[in-house]
Amino acid sequence: MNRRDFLKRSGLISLGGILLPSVLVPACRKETLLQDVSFSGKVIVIGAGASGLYAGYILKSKGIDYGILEATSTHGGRMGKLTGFADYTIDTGAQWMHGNNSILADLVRSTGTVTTRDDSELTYWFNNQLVNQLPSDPFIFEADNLPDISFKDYAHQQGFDSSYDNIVEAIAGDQGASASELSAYWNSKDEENWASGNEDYKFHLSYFDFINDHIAAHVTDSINYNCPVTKIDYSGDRITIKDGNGGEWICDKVIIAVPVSILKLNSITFTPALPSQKTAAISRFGMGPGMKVFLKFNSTFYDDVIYGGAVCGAYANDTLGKSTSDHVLLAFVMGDQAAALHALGSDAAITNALLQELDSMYNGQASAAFLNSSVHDYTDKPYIQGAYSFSTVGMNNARMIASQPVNNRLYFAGEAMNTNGHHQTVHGAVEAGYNAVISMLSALDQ
Amino acid sequence: MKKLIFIILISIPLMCCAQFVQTGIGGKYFYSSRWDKMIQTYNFSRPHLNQKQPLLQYGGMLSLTCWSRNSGKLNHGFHSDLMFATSYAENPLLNNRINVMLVTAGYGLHIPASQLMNNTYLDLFLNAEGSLVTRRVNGEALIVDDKRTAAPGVGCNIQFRYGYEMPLTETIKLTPYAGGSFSPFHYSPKSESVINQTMGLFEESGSTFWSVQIRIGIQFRPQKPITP
Repeated sequence: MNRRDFLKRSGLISLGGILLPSVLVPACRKETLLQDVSFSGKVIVIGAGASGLYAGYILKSKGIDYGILEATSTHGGRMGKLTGFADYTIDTGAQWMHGNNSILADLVRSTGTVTTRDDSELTYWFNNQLVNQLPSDPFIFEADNLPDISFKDYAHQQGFDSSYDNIVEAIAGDQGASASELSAYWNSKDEENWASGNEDYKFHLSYFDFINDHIAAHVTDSINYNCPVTKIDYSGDRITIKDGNGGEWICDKVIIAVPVSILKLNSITFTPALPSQKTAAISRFGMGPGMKVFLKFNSTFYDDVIYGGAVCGAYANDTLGKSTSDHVLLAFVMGDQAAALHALGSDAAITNALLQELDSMYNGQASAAFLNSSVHDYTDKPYIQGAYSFSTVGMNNARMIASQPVNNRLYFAGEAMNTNGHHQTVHGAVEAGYNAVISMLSALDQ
Repeated sequence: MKKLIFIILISIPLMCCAQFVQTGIGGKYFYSSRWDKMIQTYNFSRPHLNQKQPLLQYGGMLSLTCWSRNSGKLNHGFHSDLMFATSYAENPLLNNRINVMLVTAGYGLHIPASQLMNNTYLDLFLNAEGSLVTRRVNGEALIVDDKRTAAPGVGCNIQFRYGYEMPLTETIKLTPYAGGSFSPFHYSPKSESVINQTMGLFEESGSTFWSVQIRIGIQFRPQKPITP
């Protein structure tokens, strides 16, 4: 073979080496997942919270026939807004976007939505004093190999005496839990997958409006409101869904995006019953009481964030990142503390209990400056019944089992079914929503 | 710049010790099922983005091989590749760029032209490889918790290349080649966080990785050839 022959051959081989895979392989290398999978049946999404809305949005974008059944008269689930109370829109549910590395953070960027990073410094109510630093750092729950015991027990085991109990309660409350129920081990395992960043962001307008304008707006024409689902019969060729008003809906696949509390309480009857392994897994989820109380004052006499109240574990200045001249303090009450306030029985009693605690912190300034309050008790809401899911002692792989589809016909979404560490968050709910659609289409693809 | 200076400083002594050096520039077509799946999921889950994120599949490449003195009929020596690939999608207010840098370094055998057909040569390498996946949004590195997002990865690969030597002068040859490489497992667990902004959604933390490549290059002798 002479040089000319070699050049011809090697040129052809080289071009072939590059071009053949480039031409042939892209036939298998689609830009989008499940690009060629279509589904001609009907899908019903149960629940119009962030997860159900996003699942509907994805189904719509794929051209799949779908509908959303919502138990209440509005969408948003554990997101909501309050207007007229202050001179800005208050988020009564989810308020913070957690991290700037998430699908929602991208949506914020692509829509030009204004957010403010919340760099608030913590102040602690400790031994009846407001302090900026504690004698020992109680943020001890992100280490490796923690034991599967409660936050409270672990804190005691690590030498934090009862004077730290309310601080630990506030830390657990951030996870929507009581310190006596939240597992140090399983919570830290959940945190290992956390990828969205630790900074919190507040919306200049409102989180609810952001979700409403950029996600819900795509699917509102497919939402059937006031349809609380009571029965799902998937024993036949098609699935029959019945709601509390006698309505009946027929479909081929269901995405169940209700709060896990609704599944724990067996508010929906499944025929045939869900596999026992799944119901056992669902029963291991924690989802405790939760309450947000907005207190309006005539001045800002309080610190930005106060941890460690006995009545309310965490108070936060609600006006951060907002254009407002009002003074609104959020009482963020979770777990046992929320249950105790709930037991008081009236909004006035709840407000008084909080004002008394603030008075003790700020020498009576709270009652003197108080104007109005708005109580949002998620324990009271019949189709929510709690704050958000958390990992209990003994949780194990319950979240993984609970999120698995049943018979390739029932799919599970909602923040609780997020298995990649982002449960308890809106972006986690959104991820669980799109992941349910991926699971459904992947099964069809097989 | 620091990286470039570091590479040059490492390369100079290797080149000085080498019997001959091959260097060149080329292109790679590569495939990682895991990175594909992440970008596909990113595109699937973001219907609001009109322009989809292209898959990571083409990269530019620089290579340097320093062959040591002949031991018998074969040469052996140190080899290094630097590949850079990017995936860019431009959407209103969200221009998203995912960059991948892949560094390959290893040791190999050179079967010279004298042992094969006229003026052809064959190289075989066993390499370690390292990757770095980064993301830029609207022209700026994405900062999360005051740190640039970056996902390192490691793996090893086997590589072959088949080329042709065209003498230009007594000491310089043109050495084009075509080749391929295969990594049985490239471990890059955090790339999911950079590409799809999740962790743990994809069960596997690494995947196979293969590439085909062409390169044009030159071979030269930093030292005089050994004469018997």
